[in-house]
Amino acid sequence: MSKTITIDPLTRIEGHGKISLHLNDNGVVNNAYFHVTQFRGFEKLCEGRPFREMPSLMARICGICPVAHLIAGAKAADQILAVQIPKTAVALRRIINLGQIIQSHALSFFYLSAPDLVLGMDKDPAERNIFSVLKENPQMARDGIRLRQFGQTIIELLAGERVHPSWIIAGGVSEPCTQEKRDTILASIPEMQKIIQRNLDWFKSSLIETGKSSLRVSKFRDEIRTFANLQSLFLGLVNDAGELDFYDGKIRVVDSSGKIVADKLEPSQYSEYIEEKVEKWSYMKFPYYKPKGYPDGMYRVGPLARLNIIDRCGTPQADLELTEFRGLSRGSVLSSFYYHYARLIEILFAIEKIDQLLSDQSILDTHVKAIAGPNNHEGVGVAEAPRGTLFHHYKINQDGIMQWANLIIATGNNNLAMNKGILQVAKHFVKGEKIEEGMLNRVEAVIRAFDPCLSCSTHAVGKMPLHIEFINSVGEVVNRLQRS
Amino acid sequence: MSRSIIIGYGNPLRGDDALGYHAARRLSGLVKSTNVTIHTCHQLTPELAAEVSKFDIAVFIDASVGDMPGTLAVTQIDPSSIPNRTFSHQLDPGSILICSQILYGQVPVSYLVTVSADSYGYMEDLSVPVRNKLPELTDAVLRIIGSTRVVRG
Repeated sequence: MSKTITIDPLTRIEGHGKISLHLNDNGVVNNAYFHVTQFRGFEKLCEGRPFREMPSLMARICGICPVAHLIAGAKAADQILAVQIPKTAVALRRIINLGQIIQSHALSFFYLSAPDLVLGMDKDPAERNIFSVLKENPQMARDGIRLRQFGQTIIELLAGERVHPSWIIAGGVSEPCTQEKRDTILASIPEMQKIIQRNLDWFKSSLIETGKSSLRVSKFRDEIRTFANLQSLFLGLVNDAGELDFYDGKIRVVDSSGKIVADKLEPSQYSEYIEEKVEKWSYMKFPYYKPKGYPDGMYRVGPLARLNIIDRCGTPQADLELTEFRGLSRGSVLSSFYYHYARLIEILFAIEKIDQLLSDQSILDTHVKAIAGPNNHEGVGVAEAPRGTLFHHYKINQDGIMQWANLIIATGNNNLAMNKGILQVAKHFVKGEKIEEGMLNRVEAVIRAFDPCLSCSTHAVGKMPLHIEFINSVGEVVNRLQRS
Repeated sequence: MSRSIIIGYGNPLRGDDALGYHAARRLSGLVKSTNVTIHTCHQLTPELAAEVSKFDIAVFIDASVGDMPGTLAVTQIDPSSIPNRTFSHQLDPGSILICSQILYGQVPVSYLVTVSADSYGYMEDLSVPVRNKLPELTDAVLRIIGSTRVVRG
């Protein structure tokens, strides 16, 4: 008899979700679904609010990446003002966004995924946690803490608060940067560079099997082969020089072979090339690249996608790492296991870029906001959040009151790929209805590799545990495993 | 003179959950010593372990559930008695102390000061029984940091 396995709750990710695995009569996985079971509805609740409130209102979507929502919200509001944002304000927005990239990526890698990477996927779940990582590799744990502190300190110094800051406003930022703040951040740069390089070296060495020398021979061979190692498109922002850019640029789409499918797409025209599909079993929508249709237009965003679409990072050390990363594949790097690797390279890039931006004397300029009333009735703001490309689209009435909003959230962009990834990993590791811990953990770990933020993507409240269910061919749940 | 850190944590938009936040703000107006650092946050995260390890005394302030609303409790935390645990997004004070011990080799003498909550609803004010307890809570925290003797090894 065919069955379904449900994993509920999903652990060590942001938000609430569950996974169901559908098995045929022979116990072979036929289908897999990643259900996002929380709902918030921010688009609706912002209707009727003054558009200037939008950046800080939207920041409330998430406690991990509020800055990304502030940036996208402020950029949409900038378009409504239709003014030129002072260059220093743009640079300061870039710096705070990079600070958030560092802290969010460090949270994902060092706190949430390190137990899998350091202790192994098959480690007893009672011991597969951050406390065992502290004992196994305390240097790495201290490094994760320092990187998080550094990112959070940048946010707090510039914006006054670590969580839900309101310093980024329509037209710029509310306060300039002082010399003291700049010097404080710059003083930590050498230490941070050393830390991230040490952990990049650790990660690369952990990929290499004992006695081998190539990154392509890995002790995580099975995970690399099955963790959403898929043909898909990759999408994200690229600046005019073809470099990694988290704040601005044009949309580029690249295919699995590394070929550019579309380039210099105007972010504000996103609805011409991205469409969202709704499935009845999840609150998270399924965006896809319109010209390829659904579901063939599946694309991935975030660290792996960004490193696949750019020509270069644009900073010296990150470019050296990118060259090595690109050596993993002749075309695009396809395995989502490498999101972890890409995340570390992006942290290195962010540290170098912050150094560059702060070392420019004009960063202390006090002209940091443009003043205007609404000159457009519509605005679109697009930025790269830690988890990928983030779209905010607002429409207002003649009084500047919000009438409509549409948000395409970074995690949502990866929804199709995450579902395909679960199917792939489940087909490889799940045999029959007997649930083994290593299988369960790998199904969760493929989701963790994407570092989804479900509170953002559905705009819902809460924490995220995971739940596995076995369902038979007539839809009956025959077995269930739940974590609290 | 011992160095103390007071950590008040909770969500300022969820009623009595913000007890720690309000108490820490109140203490900021009362404490003048430069040996005392006051910190507020929504929740406890591992990076606090690095901060806590620099102090002789740590006082965590939080709302609790279970007792009659407004019940004040002061508990000394012994990290050695804390079982192994998992981490998703947030930690409790004991976990912070374990991190501090393992990673930095230092653990302050630590206390958890709680008041039983009445409501965690969407509001920016504390409930009456919890708000009325704030003066007693701040006195208790001041007594801890004023009277705790720390013997350095």
